[in-house]
Amino acid sequence: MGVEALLESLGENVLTTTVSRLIGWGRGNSVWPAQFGLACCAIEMMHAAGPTWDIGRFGSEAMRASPRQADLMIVAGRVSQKMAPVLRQIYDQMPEPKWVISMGACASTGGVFNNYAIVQGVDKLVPVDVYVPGCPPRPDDLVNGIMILQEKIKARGIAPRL
Amino acid sequence: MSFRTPKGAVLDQGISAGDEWITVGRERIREVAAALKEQGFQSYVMMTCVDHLAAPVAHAAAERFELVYQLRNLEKHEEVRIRVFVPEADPVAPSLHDLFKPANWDERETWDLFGISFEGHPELTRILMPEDWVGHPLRRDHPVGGEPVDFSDDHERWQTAPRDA
Repeated sequence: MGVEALLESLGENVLTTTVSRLIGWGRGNSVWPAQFGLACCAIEMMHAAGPTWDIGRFGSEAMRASPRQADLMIVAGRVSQKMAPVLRQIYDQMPEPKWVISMGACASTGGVFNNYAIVQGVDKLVPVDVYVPGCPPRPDDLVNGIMILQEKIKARGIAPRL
Repeated sequence: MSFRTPKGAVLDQGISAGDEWITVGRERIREVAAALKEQGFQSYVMMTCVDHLAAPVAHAAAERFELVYQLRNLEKHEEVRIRVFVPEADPVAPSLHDLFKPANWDERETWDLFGISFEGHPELTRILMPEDWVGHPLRRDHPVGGEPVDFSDDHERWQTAPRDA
């Protein structure tokens, strides 16, 4: 008997896929954020992790304090000039694969603070995957951003980031 | 006035929004602060600085910079504000860190943002800006910085120093 006949005999108990899709599915469904709440957006991020909007449902239950155990850095809040090297160091300490969500207007573009003290967008320091606009974005906006990131992760599979 | 000050130290006094204020010369601020502390004003509330470059204040002893100290008497529930003028040519003032411990960080902040140095301060370094920052950002002639924003009308105008505008 051939493999096809064997599989048919097993009925609907076998799922075939590619390794890339399988790993992408696994990575996307267990994205562990690193806490990087800097300012007001951090409050909304805390609420997104709370019971009402619960990102634990999407696999982000463990918000790790150590960047070495995290996949995702949610930059929640404004980045000052003094904080910029610290942010870059935390990003460098995260192991691959890693992603960045820029949460809020200040992290995306500098927000309302167009001056000498605030870095005008965290994408000047780290590569950003998803921008979540708002001041602050509602927790459901952040959850939406995480879901968009999950689609992005699943689509990438095991392809290396170049 | 509900407190006594050393003779001849107070240059001017008044009441503003319910708070008593006195103006003291910078050479006598330590004496006045120590005297007030003995009389019960032992709570140091804050110290801030004003740059009067754009709008000179109407005062006999007015200079460019004005330090404003706020002391509080916790038993009598009274506050007093002390104003000290510091000239632009010689931006130095005595430090009060040994009388009031919280003055340590306020003086570092004033040095960082206004450029007024404090004699007797143990470690006068920047506290808010990065250590290698050049300039004192809250001075009126320090540019605001930032980036030009597309489709905004007067962004270019307020990016430049007010003396040139």
